[in-house]
Amino acid sequence: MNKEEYLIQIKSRLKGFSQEDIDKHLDYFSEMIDDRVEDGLSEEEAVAQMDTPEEAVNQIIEDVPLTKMIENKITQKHKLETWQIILIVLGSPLWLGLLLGAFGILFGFLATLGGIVFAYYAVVFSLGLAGVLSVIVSVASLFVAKYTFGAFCFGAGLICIGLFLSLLLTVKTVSLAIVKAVKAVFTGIKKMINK
Amino acid sequence: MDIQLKRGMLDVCVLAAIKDEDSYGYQIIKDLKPYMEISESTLYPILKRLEAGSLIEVYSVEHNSRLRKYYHITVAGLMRLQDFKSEWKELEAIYDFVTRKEKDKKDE
Repeated sequence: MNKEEYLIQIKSRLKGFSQEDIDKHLDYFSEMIDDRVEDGLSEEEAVAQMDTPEEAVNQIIEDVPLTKMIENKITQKHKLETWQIILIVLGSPLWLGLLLGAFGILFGFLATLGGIVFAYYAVVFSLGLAGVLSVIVSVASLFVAKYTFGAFCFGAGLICIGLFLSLLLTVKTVSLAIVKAVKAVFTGIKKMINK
Repeated sequence: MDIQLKRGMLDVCVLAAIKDEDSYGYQIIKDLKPYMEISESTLYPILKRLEAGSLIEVYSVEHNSRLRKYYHITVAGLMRLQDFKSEWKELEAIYDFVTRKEKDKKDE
C-alpha cells in the first residue's frame, strides 16, 4: 500500500469526525510516512511499519469520549444544503414531537423506577416504625390492664421489627441494582446514537 | 499493565522525550524505541491530550516543502514531570515494602 492509498483508507474510516479533525489526522499520518521516507524507506515500507488503517483508527476512536463522538455527529449535520434545512424546519412539528415524546418516555421510565425505589424504602422503614410503635403501645397497655391487647401488640411489633431488620439488608442491593439498570439503559442509548 | 496506568505513563514518556529539546512525531517514536515500542496511532491521542491540557505547545516548521509539526514542553509539562519523579519515589517505597515482607517470610 502506498501513501495515498493508506491515507484514503484512514479517511474512509473517520466518517464520524469533523472535517477539521479528519484533516488533522491525515496531516499527522502523512507526516509520519514522509519522515520515514526521508529516513530512506519507500512509501510501501513506511506504511508496512505503521499500524494498519483499521488498527490506527480503532486506537484513535478508543481515546475519543463518547460525548465528543455525539457532538461530532451533531456538528456534522450543520453542513447542510439550504433545501435540507428548509425540509428539517418544515418537518419539525413531526420530529420535534417524536423527540419530545421519546424524552417523555425516558423521563417517565426513570420517574417510575424512582417511585418504585422510594416505595420500597417507605415500606421497609414503615415496618420498622410500626414495629417500634407497637412495642411501645404494648408496654403502655400493661398500665391499663389490657393484657391480651398488649400481648398482641407486642407480638405484632416483634414481627414488624424482624421483617424490617431482614429487609434492611436488601435495601442496599436493590438500590445498587437500580443504579446499574439505569446506567445500562443510558449506555444502550449512546450506542444507538453512535450507529 | 493496567490501561489507565499505562496511559499516564505514556503521557509522561512523551513529555520526557521533548523536555530538553523540541521534537516532532516520528523523532519522538524513534527516541522512545530503546525503552518501548509506541506506534503513531498510540502517540496521536497522547499528543492531543497533552496539548489540550496545555502541557505541550504545537507549532509548524517548513521542512522540505512540507509542514512538519513540532512539539514544545510547557512549564506545566515540566511540572508534571517533576510530580512524576516524586510519585515514583512513593511507588518505590511501596514496592520495597511489598517485596520485603515476602523476603522476610521466606527467611522464616
